[in-house]
Amino acid sequence: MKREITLTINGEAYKLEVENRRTLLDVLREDLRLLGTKKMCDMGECGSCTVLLDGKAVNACLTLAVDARGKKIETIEGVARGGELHPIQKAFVDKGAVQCGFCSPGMIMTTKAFLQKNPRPTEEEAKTAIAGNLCRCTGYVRIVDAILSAADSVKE
Amino acid sequence: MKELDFVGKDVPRVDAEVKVTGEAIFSVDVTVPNMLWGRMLRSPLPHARILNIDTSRAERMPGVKAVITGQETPFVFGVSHMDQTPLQTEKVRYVGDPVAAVAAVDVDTALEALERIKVDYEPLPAVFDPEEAMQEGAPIIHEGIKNNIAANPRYNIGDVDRAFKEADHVFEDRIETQRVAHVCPEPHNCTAVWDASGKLTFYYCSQMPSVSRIQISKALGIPESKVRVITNHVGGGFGSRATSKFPMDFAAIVLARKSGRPVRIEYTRDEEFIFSTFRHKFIMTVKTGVKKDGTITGRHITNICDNGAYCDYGPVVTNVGGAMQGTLYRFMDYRYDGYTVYTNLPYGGAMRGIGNPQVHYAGETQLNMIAERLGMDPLEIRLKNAVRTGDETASGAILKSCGLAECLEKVAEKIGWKEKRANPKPNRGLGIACGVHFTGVRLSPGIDADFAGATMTVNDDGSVNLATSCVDIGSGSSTALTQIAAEVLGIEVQKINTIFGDTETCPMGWGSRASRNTAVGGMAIQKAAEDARKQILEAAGVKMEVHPDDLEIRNSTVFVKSAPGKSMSVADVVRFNRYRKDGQAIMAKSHWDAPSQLADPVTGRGNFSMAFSFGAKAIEVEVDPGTGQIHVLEVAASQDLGKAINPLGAIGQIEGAVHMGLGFAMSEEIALDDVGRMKNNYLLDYRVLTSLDMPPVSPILIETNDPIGPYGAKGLGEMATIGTPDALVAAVAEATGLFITDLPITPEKVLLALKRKKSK
Amino acid sequence: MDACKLLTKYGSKARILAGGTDLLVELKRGWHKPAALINLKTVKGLDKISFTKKEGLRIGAMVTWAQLLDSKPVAGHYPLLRMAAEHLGSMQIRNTATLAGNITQASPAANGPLPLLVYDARCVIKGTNGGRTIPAEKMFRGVRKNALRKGEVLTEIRIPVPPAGVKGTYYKFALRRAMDLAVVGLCVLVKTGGGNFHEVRIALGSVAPKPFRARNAEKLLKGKKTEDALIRKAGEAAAAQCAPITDLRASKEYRIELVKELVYKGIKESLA
Repeated sequence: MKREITLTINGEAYKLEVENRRTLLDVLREDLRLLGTKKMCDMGECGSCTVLLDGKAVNACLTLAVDARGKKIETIEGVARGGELHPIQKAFVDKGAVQCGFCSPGMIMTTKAFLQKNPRPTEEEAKTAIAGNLCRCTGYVRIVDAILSAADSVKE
Repeated sequence: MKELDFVGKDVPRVDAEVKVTGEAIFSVDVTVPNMLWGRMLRSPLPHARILNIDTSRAERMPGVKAVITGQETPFVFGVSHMDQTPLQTEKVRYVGDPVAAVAAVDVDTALEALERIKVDYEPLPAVFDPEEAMQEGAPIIHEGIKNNIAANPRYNIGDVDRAFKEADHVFEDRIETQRVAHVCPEPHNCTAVWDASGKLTFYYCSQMPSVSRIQISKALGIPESKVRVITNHVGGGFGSRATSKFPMDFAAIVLARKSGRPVRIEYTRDEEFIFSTFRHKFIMTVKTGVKKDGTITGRHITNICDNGAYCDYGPVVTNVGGAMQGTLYRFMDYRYDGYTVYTNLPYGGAMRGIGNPQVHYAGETQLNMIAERLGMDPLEIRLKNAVRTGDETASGAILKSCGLAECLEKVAEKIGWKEKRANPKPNRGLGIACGVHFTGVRLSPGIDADFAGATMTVNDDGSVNLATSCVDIGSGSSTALTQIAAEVLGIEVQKINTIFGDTETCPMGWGSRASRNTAVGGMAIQKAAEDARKQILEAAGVKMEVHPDDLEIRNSTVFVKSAPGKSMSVADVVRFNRYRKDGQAIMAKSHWDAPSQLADPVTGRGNFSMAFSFGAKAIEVEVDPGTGQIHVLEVAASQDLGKAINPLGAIGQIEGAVHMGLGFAMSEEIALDDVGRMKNNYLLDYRVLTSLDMPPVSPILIETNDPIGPYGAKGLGEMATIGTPDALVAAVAEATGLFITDLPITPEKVLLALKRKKSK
Repeated sequence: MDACKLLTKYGSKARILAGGTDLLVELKRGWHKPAALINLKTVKGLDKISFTKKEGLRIGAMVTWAQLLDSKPVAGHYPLLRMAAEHLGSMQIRNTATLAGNITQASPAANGPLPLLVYDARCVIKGTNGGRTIPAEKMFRGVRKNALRKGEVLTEIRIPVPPAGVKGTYYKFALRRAMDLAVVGLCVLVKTGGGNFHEVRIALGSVAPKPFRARNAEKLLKGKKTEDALIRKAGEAAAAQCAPITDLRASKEYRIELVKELVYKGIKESLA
């Protein structure tokens, strides 16, 4: 059963026809071709599909698209502004936190939500924030480094 | 020597920006117009004859555009042993063996179509244990393969029996390792597109696109010129994507041909666990002769590799572990008997280290046990036996650079080896281990090649187009290669565009495996860049009326060495050289074959790699005797990598390798049921360590400046994966008094072992 | 309520959708194929936490674990519930998953039941025929079986103010420090005075088909001296009440040993 909904993603309104049972992840990737949000497990066990709903990090694979109506949805595509990397993205680049890059969008979205709430985290708090984001390449060390470095430069 | 501008610097990854914005396209992001979705039908039985397959109901389903069985995929393929067809026609050999495939307008339709395919099987007796499979009377899995032994790689160097006679002690221990999965973040996927001219474009997350192309062309019987393989950014490889060796690949290709539309097949995570291969289970017996003073006189290792139903990389994996054990310590009497054994189980493949981590685990663990039995310091016994620069080892490797002793000493120093062992604390322990791995390799009999290619064009604006045969699967190879090019050319990294992955635009090479990108790929880049540099200097020399030997390039500027004020930009040189009568573009190419040799077919000896990289791990743990929980306090990981082209990148690789090693040691295991179905093929119960589980890691880079590699560089990615479980088990042994060698070493195993010890 | 009416109409063919972090995984795995999902997110007013010194805490059915972590009354008065929240899943899961969902899914390994059991929480249930309130312990009837009847919805969890001077511990012994299920889950609440146990409450998870209070162990300690040997005995008594299984995560033998050790440790830590 399809239904007409409007999703507000990165400040833009998208009118869509979706079935109730489709996840936000599938709608982002398949219907809207916003491919930056990745599907690594589709079960909420890896965090690669992390997007922000009203500023809160959630797994898009466990969010029904219809439940994202009326919420401010942010994906990785909306993080850089006017061609300028966000300080978090810059920190990931500078601190060697990106290897294969598949977990990076999810890591960055998680970090964005986290630093908005906790702008001066300890190392342990940063590690806890990304505990739901799996990485197979880095061992997390440089990612935590990047988060702490970004904390110093995030103003908002 | 000239001060380096780019090599040896922490240059940010050249692909990091597109990855942090989500712009980077991975194979799984590729879609083409009119694309169909394919899925495979897989056997529910571990060993059975196929009596009949009826696909008629599936074919009639609306939305289903093609259905195929093994009749349409009569291609035989494999890595070294051609023992597989994409879809089975005669019999199935493991639960999951594919027998049919469909392409439909969406995944749901494809899945429903699979349910409408009727397959009649006649079950056959199955065997799930390799030691049983080797016995007389065991079910034969591949016709004509006696005792299910697909391969028997052997090394027989010197006289190991004499060495045992000369020893004061001979120890024999049996040590096994478990199956673990790659867990590549990007699940396997491919998209097959045929065009009207009969050409196939195959999008695939390949580590070796040129080799994929050869395999597809060979299997399908079409010319290579009719096959184009395109690899984009790759979400992890770790060996699972080395070559095109999956039923999925051929199924997509044939479905696309039959339906007349592009077909995409991608794995879900639960399929990815079991059908993208994994690290083989090894059952090893290590027999070592030692003198009273700890000198190793000789070693004999028997290795039974539980291969699973099809060879894939199995024989190579079995071979590699054997070769490397003759390359770490100075004994010259060495025997290795490897058996790659078929079982009715899902099959393993190449995984970071291809067999080396497992055999090292057995050898190093036994050496730690021997040290304990002799009352010797595990560090001292290693230093005593360690190979050195200049050695020709038992395996025939010639070590032009070797930092093994320094690797051991540095991790020992970092972990506080001497002080802590002098003042042991209750429930705490230290463990140490070391290892060696190759940099590119010539270990496949009959294939006397280990090369990489590079092409280079300098553009009108002084920027550079660089095409490499090396795929960056996340290891940072594109960045390191760009740095090498920048250094040789005197042109900044940001001005160099490095591409890979398209067989139509990139040169041929063995791609990304065997830790070869920086060194083998780098030498190809270096040679091409030297050629391009020579052309620039010659052209500039003509324009500036100076001899090229008097010229230098730095910061994209060609200047006269003796009069630096007299200069012109590289861009101007290029334009000058191009836009004149009989002008020339600045273009260069290189095909570089590593100076290594194939092994002697009888003994197995040979200098089979251009260089060998060494490393060591020292780990400190604290064990909770009430719960068995192991707290890893620190991992010190040293790596002799010749030269760190990008130190931050190298450190990142080591940290990631330690993460993988700790998982192998403590938490990861593919659990199979009694017919070989995986029980934990999801990320909750297949435990990849989270950020909170990682202990402090101290990477130590040791530069021994190998004479062959670019700026002295050697391989890194696989060596760094070796030694972690070895050191961990030894540390736990010191903390508890017990060598618990059954991996993964979980709190349960520790506690129950302690209880058993107490009750004795 | 509309939700109850819909539930009654569809019967077992419908499932309630709260946070969905457990349910959606079940659906993706094909464990159920419900005809309808009744989405509690659309019901107003279920996402509130309120606290009064007299009545204690009231947690609506749509309250997420993240809200519990942010809540001052939870931090101030129900530290064991807060600890259960800290140890649940990941930030992403905590932002979505609900305490009520955790309870009604009735996994024996769930975090939520354990603090509710030691805090003597109660579950408020609404149905088409009115409502009822039951002790939290009674919500669990077996593995993934809860006490809700046809057409009923858990709407609120109420936790009385704990007695003054209580201390406690929450342990989730798991194989990873995040994103994992407990191999053994433990929650302990004690109150002492004059070197004796006045109040002892021990809740255990992952060691039986349901989370439960180890009342034999509690009886052993109540009124007695806080002595090491006795606390060890309590650990053994608790273990004797367990009926663990061997699964992918651990053997029953190991779980029994862990219960003995963790109950002892948990009580000792609470006394410190």
